[in-house]
Amino acid sequence: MMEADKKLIADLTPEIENTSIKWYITFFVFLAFFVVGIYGLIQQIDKGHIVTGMRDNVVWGFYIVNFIFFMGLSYSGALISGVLHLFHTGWRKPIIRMAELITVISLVIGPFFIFFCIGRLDRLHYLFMYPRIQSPITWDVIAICTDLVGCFIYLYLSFIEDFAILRDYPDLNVAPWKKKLYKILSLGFTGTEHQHRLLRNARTVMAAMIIAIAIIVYSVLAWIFGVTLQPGWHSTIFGPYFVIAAVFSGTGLLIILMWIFRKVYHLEEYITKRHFVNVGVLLTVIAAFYGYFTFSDYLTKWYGSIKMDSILIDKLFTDYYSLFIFANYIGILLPGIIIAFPRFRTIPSITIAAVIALLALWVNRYIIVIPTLETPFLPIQDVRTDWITYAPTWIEWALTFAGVSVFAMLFMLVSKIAPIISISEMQEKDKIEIMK
Amino acid sequence: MMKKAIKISLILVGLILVLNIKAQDEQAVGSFKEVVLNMTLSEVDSIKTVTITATTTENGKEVPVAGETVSVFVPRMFSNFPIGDITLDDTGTGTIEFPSDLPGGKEGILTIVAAFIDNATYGNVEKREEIHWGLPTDYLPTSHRALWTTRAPYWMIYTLSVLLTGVWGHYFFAIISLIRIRIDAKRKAKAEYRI
Repeated sequence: MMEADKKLIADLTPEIENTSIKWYITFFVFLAFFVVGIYGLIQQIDKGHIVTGMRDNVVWGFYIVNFIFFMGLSYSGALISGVLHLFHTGWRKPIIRMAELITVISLVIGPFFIFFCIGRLDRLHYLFMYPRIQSPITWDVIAICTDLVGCFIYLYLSFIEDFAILRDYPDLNVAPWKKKLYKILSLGFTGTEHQHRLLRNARTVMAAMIIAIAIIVYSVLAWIFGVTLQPGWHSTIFGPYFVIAAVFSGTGLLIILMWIFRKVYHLEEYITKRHFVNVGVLLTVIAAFYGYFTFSDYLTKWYGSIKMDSILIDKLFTDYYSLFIFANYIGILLPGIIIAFPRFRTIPSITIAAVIALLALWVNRYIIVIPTLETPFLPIQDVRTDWITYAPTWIEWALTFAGVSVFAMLFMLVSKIAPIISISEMQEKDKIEIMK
Repeated sequence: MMKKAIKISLILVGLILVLNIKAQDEQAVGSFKEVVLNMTLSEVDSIKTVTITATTTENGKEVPVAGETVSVFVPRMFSNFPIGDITLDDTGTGTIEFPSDLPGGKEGILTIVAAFIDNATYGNVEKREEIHWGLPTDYLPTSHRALWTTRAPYWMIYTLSVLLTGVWGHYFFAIISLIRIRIDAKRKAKAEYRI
């Protein structure tokens, strides 16, 4: 029998036991966005990619931006949860599960945007049948598959103890199928010293592993751009730059989720201002690194004055001026300023800083992908403007919102099966405090 | 009564539309004269020649198509490679020399197309032939290991293998740990049952 603190369970399990009307309404709103996205996708399958804003020149649009964005969130979730776990950071416990869930849910959603982008989906299996190890696309396919398996194992390891607690808690008022699910998924874990040791070792190994995988896998994604001889992409620092940017966005998302779940599930006692400040400081530090990489990348391109780089930078400061300023000035400086000054360090302001950081990072992805494709090496004359410039259509917007909705829905569904704060982690905290 | 009238009107409108489309199709087909294109490919003293003959039928008799232009080209991956235009003489015949240095894939096979393109009298008509007139080119020598061949450099294979073995080895360790937890739990349950 797994013993657990009754108060802890009473505080963290009501959302598993009961589902409010508000929950259903919110879920159906997201579902509506998802359905609109599916309608858009059917239109795209029926009429072809002509219904998107992508053309001969700008062959990547919103879909690739979203793919990079979601994959970045996933890797950052892995990095954050892995680092917090390995370094036994005391305050991590109420938020580590959210970071773990960000990892897996984003990783499930991200690759779908690649499917939306591919013109000949019927040839998708060729990637597995005729792989070329020399191709960064093959590296990416291998990396994402490997990462997906690793993240699922890591997430599952972190859930086992909680499943065992929920299985053995007699007063838990849930549907019989949930009880059965807990019984199956807990693997009969009863919390013996031997079982604890096995689980602890496996979690430590996997935590270290997913940190390494997250860095490698997101670097591989960056190298898809870096190894391409395109203005703005062919950069040696794209690997680390992408990794830092990913952690920046993931930290922002973590703060937003902390705020949402704290408010909706009334977790004020567990997710405190201290957690917001700590993650906020982390966001500021990462913002500094991210700003440094951004400046370094554009400075070398601007100073080098290679013709195509100069054209690209001119474009960024003219056609994309407001987006560039938002992504690389406001998005980096404002979160830093908000969190750097103690008087601004309130939960709402830190959350606002996180929202700005997250949006800025998405825009940053946009201005990395699109302006470069609009700056071809060969001059194009006498062509229609929409062939060489990109403007997303409603279908791309709909599928983007559908992706965000699926992310929200999956988070909501998981929170109905297991507590959004790990009970076992919280108990461990109590044990450590008692030992102290 | 009203419903019947609407039904009849709809059927009539549908009928008119169908007949109209059919008439347009017939008109489109019937607006161009029929033409027969023949292509002869010959090689004398290493000089390759494409000879085109075009005939049409007038009053039940076969007559040559004179004075018209026929385009000759070779389809490539993205577009057509033009060889040249032939103006047909009074006998409906024309020739053009074919280059000897066109790459033609592994086997050296080229597809040669002669066509009337948007011709006012004959519309779009083409004749195509395949022949071993290209230079056999194999861009992917299998013996060579490089980024651009079908065989990857050894260092890439080694790096990928080491990385994947390392990562999946750790996954395997985690899965074995899970199996051991399950076995331990079963053993413990059995022992408790005996007691």
